[in-house]
Amino acid sequence: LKRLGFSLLETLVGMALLSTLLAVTFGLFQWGSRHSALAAMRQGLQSDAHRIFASVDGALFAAPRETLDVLQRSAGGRRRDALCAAALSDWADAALYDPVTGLPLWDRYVVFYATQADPLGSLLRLQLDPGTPCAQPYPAFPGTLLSEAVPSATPLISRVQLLASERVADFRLERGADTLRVSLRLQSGSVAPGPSRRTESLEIRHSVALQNELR
Amino acid sequence: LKGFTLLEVVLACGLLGCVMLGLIALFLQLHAGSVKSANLTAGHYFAVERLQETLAPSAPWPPAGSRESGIYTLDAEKQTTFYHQVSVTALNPQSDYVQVRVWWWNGQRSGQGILSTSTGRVRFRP
Repeated sequence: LKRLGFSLLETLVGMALLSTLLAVTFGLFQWGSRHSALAAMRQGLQSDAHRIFASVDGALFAAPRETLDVLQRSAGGRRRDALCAAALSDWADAALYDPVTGLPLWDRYVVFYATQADPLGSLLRLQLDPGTPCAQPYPAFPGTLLSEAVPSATPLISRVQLLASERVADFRLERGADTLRVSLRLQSGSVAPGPSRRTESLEIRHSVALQNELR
Repeated sequence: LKGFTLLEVVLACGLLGCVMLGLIALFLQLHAGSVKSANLTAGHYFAVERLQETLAPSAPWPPAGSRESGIYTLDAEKQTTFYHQVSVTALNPQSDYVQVRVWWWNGQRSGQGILSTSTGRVRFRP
């Protein structure tokens, strides 16, 4: 008699093999997709950090050190500091340079600050055009400038930039004699909920040389 | 009914195993690459920070010894330890080359290559 189909033993062995392979494959892909999500988060944090430091460096390298004002603030045990420094609205405008000395006639302030939301705040950059010469620290800093919500543009605040939205755990500013130390800790959301949740964090410590002077 | 021979089954399992191993190696490489990238970013900024602090006019000269710092670069719970060393090479009577080398360790290095970075600048003697 010719045998048809598989025996019970063959079927059981086949099913056991298949289920083992499926378990390994799904486990592998779950691990891979989790780490791929983590890698994407890390990449996002790094590109945020590069963008933020490009903006902070650009403002501080140019700013005259006499106009720099640093405000240290705490939120839930974490530092969410703020800084304000003078700037020039248009570096290519000859009218914004003193015809005798050639020095810039500072006409703008830039403000960087982290909001105090818990657990993660946002980082904002404000551009202030007070309409008067900016040859000293901004007299009304911080005043009502450092609002928790993203402020709207006003005649004073000519531009608002959201540099990081609800990602800032710590924004620390320490002023030295010739440098400003900036420490920024960005944090992302979790990859997986439950006990395997993992929060990615990237801390950058940076120092900007304050080279410019008013005269 | 003609089924598979033992040799065919073993070959099929071996092939599948090779594909799986390849995938595991790929995932491990991607993981190591993203870990190194995060540490390298923090390490680069740390090296620039140390260089700026070393070259600041008010900083002591010659520069002080090495220092280590714990920085959060991956997990929000665990820090990576960064070390740095400043070396000064005299170029001529007027100038020196100041180099800051930073290296780090977080307990894993598999597939990550060299875990260090450096940056430098010429310093003209006052």
